[in-house]
Formats: sequence, structure tokens, C-alpha cells
Amino acid sequence: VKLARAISQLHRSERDLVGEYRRVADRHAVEHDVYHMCHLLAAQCATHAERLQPFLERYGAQAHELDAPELWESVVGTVRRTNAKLLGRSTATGLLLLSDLRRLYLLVAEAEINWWMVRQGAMAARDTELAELFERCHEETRNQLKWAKTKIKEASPQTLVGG
Amino acid sequence: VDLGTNPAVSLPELRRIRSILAQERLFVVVQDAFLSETGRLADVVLPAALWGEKTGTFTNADRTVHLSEKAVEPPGQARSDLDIWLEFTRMLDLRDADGQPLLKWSSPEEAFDHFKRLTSGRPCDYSGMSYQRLRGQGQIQWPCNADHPDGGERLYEGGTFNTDPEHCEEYGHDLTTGAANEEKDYRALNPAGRAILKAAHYSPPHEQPSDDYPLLLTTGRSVFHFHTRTKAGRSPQLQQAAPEVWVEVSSEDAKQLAIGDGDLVRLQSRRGSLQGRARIADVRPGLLFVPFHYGYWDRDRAGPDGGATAANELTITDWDPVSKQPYFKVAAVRLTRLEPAGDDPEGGEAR
Repeated sequence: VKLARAISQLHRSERDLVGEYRRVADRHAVEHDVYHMCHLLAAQCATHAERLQPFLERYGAQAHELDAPELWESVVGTVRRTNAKLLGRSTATGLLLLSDLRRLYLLVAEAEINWWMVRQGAMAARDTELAELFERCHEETRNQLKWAKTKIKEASPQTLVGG
Repeated sequence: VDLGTNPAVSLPELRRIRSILAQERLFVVVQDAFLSETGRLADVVLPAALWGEKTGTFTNADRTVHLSEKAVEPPGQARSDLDIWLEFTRMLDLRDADGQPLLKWSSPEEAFDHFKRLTSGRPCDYSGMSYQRLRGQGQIQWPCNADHPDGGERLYEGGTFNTDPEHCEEYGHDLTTGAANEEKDYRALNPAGRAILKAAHYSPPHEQPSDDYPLLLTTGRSVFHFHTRTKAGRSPQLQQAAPEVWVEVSSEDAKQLAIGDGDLVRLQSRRGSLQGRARIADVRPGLLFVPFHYGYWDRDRAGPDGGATAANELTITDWDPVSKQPYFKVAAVRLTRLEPAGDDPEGGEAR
């Protein structure tokens, strides 16, 4: 069914976000609030993807794995963190953070609308378990979107106009 | 500019804080009554008057406003914080739209009268107060206005809270991420004077005990000292009551690590280390406690020379996303015994 495709797209969004949050965290390891929050949000997305797993099977949808293996990511993560510490803070790293947050915002927006598609589909298919999963996860996705917007609004004035 | 506080002891991960304050590209100005650790790292130190050396009001956590009168002249070149700030505005030549000086006042009482006009109609309404009333009455709680001429003992009488969208000061945050609520979300809640109860799901601490750092450190206070002992440490009775840092260990952990009461121990985290005497205390197994007051000013230093004593050498740079309070209560550490208790344990009376 076509619902399978929507679930698969949502699963992909969440898995992509796990990798993206971790990359942004490590790339900005000297921005401690960004570092810790991105790792926390990566864990949220990983939980969402895990909870979607039974529904992928129920509807015979395709699962998406992380785009890079864990070991590779942990090695590259260490390099990114070291690099972030060597670079420190500057106008260039500020612009990079803003552009990373903007990309995160757009990816989370995609996940958020995917949740709505799945939820409406689940209601039409009378799949109450899938509709309940929306209730458990969507609020977090919506707060992730608000978080990215809050950080972008905080960082923009200094980065775009300040020295 | 650092005004009357001491981040070189009170912020987490002190090695990092010292390296930031020591940077050439950063110009550090410290304004304090005593030369603190932070003051030793400053480019300019402005000596400031203490409470008995200047006039002004202070507001307690229960909203009670007191007037504190100057009793003696400040020593040497020290001046009140207000006079130092006013001098700044004169040097910056700040002016209003008519080309007149921006600040029309210069005395503490004039500053108070200006401030109380700004609070008129707001939740913290001081408009009914004056220096004369504070001298006569001694203390007044805000709100103090036409509705509460003698001040308000209780807030939210009749169960009405300051949540009306037209009256509130902000729309709040998501507790987990710190994401700001927007006006339309807030209006959709229809708070209209009702209380808003917020909840957050549990999230584990960002640093968990591991094989290398198996214990959890929590930092806190002693009743004998305030903050970084800038004043309390100069009071002989208070300093003698709790003269040096200590490490509280549960009897279970002490037994396992062969640590006796009064032994010299070292604590190590991913960020730094600390040395102090062990106290076998009633703390939970797996947990350690260290008071955070003990910096280096009384050894004429900005940082440690050998054994460090400031608990924040160990703590993690991480903070609550809404309140921005650092996480002083969770850091993974390793505990080792250095020396047995000597004949001269300077434990003090706080034991």
C-alpha cells in the first residue's frame, strides 16, 4: 500500500536526522550547548526510528539504515571534535554553525510533515497503534523544529552583523 | 566586564575558564571589593565599595525591599558600583534624542525613583515605595501600589497568575530543549490567568560513570561560607570553622578503596583534579560530595600550584537549556588515596 511508502519516508527522515545531529554536534564541539543538545536529539530520533520498525514490517515497507556504519562515524566524529577544538570560535565557525542549524531545521521540517502524512494515513486505515505512535513522537519532532528556530534566532544577529 | 562575582572559581571546568580569561584578544575588567582569582586574571581592576560603604536598596528572594544606608566611607580609591557605572556613561557621553545627558539622575535615591516609575503597572510594582517610606517602615514587599499601599504579602491571590498574554513577560520554553514558545502557541493554550504546570521526560546525565571514572561527584555548599569565600574567608570565625576543602565519601566506598577518615585523597575527572582530606559521611554509595568554595585567592594565585582545591576543576561545561544553570551536580570522577591522615588534620569545627 501507499502508506508503506509514507512510513518508509518518515523512517528515512528520522535515520537521516540521527546522523545529521551527530555530525553537527561533533563539528561544533566547542559550542557546548549545541554539542550536548544535538546528541540528545539524535537519541530522540533513533528512538523514533526504532519505534517505527514494527510498522515497517507490518506494511512491508523498506527500512533505511544509517548512511554510514557506526565504527566509521565514531572515528570521523573524533576527528570532527578535535578539529572543532583546534578551530575554536571565529566569524567563519559562526557562519558554519548557522548554516548547519538551517539545514537541520529544513530536515526536521521534512520529518515533521512526514509524521502528519503517516498519522492521517493511519487514521484512514484505522491503525490505532500507528496513530498512537504519532502522539508519542510528534511532539518531540515539533519541539526539535522550535529548538532549531530558537538557536537560529539567537545566533543570527551576532553572526550576520557583529564582528 | 565582571561585576562582583568570581567566575574563575564559580564556573565549571576552571582550566578552560582560566584559559579564556587569559586570552590576549579578551579585555577583562573586574569590579570587586577584594582582589579575587578572577581579578588576578583581569586587565583592569576597579575597586568597589561594600554594602556598609554605600547607600542603596536590595530586594530579598521573598520580594522584600530594604534600604541599606552608608555607614563609613569606602577605603582608598574604592567607589560604589553606581558611581562607577555613572562615570562610564559620562565617559561614553550617552545622550537622549534632545541632545541632553541620557541619565538625568546621579544619586542612589534618584536612581530608585526612576526605577520605580519603570515598574509601575508591571508584576514587580515598586511605584508606591520611597526612601522615606523604607526608612520609616523598614521593609516593604512588592507589589506596592494603589492596590497594595503597604506592599503585598502574597502573590496570585484568588488563584490569578501573571499568565495573561497581554500581561506576561514571555511565552515560556520547552523544558527539554529550551526551544522558545511563540506568541500564537501561547495564545492557543488560553492561559488567561491560570497557572501552567510543565513536565519534562527524564533524560540521563550527559556524563555517566564509567570504568575509568566510576564515581559520581556532586558539588555544593558549607553553611560557613558563601560562594567563593571572598568575604566569608576573611572572617576568622567562619574561615576557622571550615578552613579547607574536603571530600565526602560513603563508608561503603571508603572501605572498598581502603580510605580512612582524614586521609589525603585525589579526585580526577576528564577535566582536572583536586586534592583534599576524606570525610566518611552519610552519602549514597557511588556518590561523592565536595564544597565548591575553595579557590586560590588566599594563596595569592588565580589558579592551583600543585594540589588544586576548587571543586569546579572537575565539573563539566554543560548547562540547563532554559535556566542556563551549569550542571554542578553530576560529573564522573575517580577517587584515589594519597596519604594517611596526619597528626595535624586541619579539619576545623565543621566536622
